[in-house]
Amino acid sequence: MDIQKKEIYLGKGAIEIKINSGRFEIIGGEYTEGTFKIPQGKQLPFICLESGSLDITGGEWEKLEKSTIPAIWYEIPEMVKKNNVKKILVYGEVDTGKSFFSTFIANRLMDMGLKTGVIDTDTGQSDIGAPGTIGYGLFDKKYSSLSSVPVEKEYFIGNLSPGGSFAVFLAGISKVAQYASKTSDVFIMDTTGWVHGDGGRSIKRAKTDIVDPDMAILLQRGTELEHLVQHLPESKIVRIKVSKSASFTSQEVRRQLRETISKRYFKNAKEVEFSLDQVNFERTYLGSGVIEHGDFLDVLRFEKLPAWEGNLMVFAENIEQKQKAELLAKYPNTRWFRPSYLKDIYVGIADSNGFALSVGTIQKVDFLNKKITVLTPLADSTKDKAAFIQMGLTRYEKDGTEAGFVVPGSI
Amino acid sequence: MSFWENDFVQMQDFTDSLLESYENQEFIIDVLKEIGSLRKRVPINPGIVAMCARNIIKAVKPEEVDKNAKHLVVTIDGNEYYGETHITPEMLVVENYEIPQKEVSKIFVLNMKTLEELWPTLVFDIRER
Repeated sequence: MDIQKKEIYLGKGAIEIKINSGRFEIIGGEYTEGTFKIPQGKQLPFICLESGSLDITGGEWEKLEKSTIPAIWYEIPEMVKKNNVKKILVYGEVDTGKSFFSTFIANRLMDMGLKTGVIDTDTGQSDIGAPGTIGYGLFDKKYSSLSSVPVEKEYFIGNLSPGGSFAVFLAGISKVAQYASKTSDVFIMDTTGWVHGDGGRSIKRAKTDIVDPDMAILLQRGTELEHLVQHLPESKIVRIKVSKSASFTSQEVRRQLRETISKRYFKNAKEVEFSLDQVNFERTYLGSGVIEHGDFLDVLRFEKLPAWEGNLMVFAENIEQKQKAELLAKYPNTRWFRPSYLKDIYVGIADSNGFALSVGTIQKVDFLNKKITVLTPLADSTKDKAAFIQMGLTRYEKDGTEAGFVVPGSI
Repeated sequence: MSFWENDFVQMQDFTDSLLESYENQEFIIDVLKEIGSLRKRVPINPGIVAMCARNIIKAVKPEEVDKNAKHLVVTIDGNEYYGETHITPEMLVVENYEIPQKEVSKIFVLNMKTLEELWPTLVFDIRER
């Protein structure tokens, strides 16, 4: 398809666009070649700077009368450089284009010679890093989407929503922001769309206090985000109007987008066995108590937990109901499960600093021989760096399909 | 901060309003059992459980009464009758009670498919411990 200079098109996924000739501005970067894959539920504008031709496969390709990118988007990188801004926090409700905006600004900043990082905190719709993680990537070149940015650091949350995982989520924000401050000239934190209600307000306020941004960018339809930045000086706030009719992403499309990412992660996964002498469990009661070595029939592991926390028992898979009832009557304050309950739990494989080397799902825990098998894309070369298996709250099938939950506090 | 950091309170608010709004204990227990079932199905999202809980009790018209389902029939004078219900030209029959249709104020049925309807992407098999 021939495209004339100054023409603007919007590609709506799932679509693949290959540049044959000409020069195009795509999400803040200029390109004369390359193939761009836009997934289902996402869209990308193409601005033609020099006439050329494109190959377009699938999806929708719509001609626009004018650019959908406001002029202020081009001004912000200049403001960042001029004011020596180091930390940018991007706020917005769901479907306000935060990731697209962050990519645009990062491309422009990178073009201006700044070492630019993006922290993706949207654990439910992770672009940088695995699902359920806070991912950090550096723009070593221009990218047409955050999902193409290589992961520099990753912090495992193990939950697709920060709700129910406030503490670990905020710990991750702090840890990754500190790392980003040390390794970039400027970083952009792309946040979740959870901005209202008790949970949304408290987590956003805490996040703002942790990051202490030099620039807070509000992508808002009206004034719905003002309550989040009331305490910040006006000089730090940039307000950008977004379309009231911004695209709505359904639950089902969201799940498809999530599973596209998780399936991509698990595509190259293989079973990796760790000795429980090498790795410790983390974020679980399991492995945190004192092991009792008595002769307990059908009990694979018996831990005395500290203080009032009681006991933890791992029962044999085929334990009889009567035997289980007798044990639980004798030790009433006991958390218990069978090894099969651990199967498919989403875990982080973390280094000694608590950053994720990779993610995976538990396939088997052999308590007698002290071994755990995890399905993971972890590189062989980094296996020795694994120090912790961080327990998550979700499960995945082997192919990356979502498979339910773990009851908090049950293991 | 004066915010709740946990959505469990929404479930508690719902159970409080349940106890204030209805008197029939069997009906209340069935609603609570369904909330328990939702909690087992979505243990990490109490906010979603609360959202589903608010949709468990569904008002229906007399012509929508399903004879295979339990209904709570509330009369104009505030009496509550709960059980399998069928309709005749003049009456609503709840188990052994016959209630003239003109004395019926409200009819409720329990919707056990709230998660499937509101959050179908969170419907999974439950893993046993």
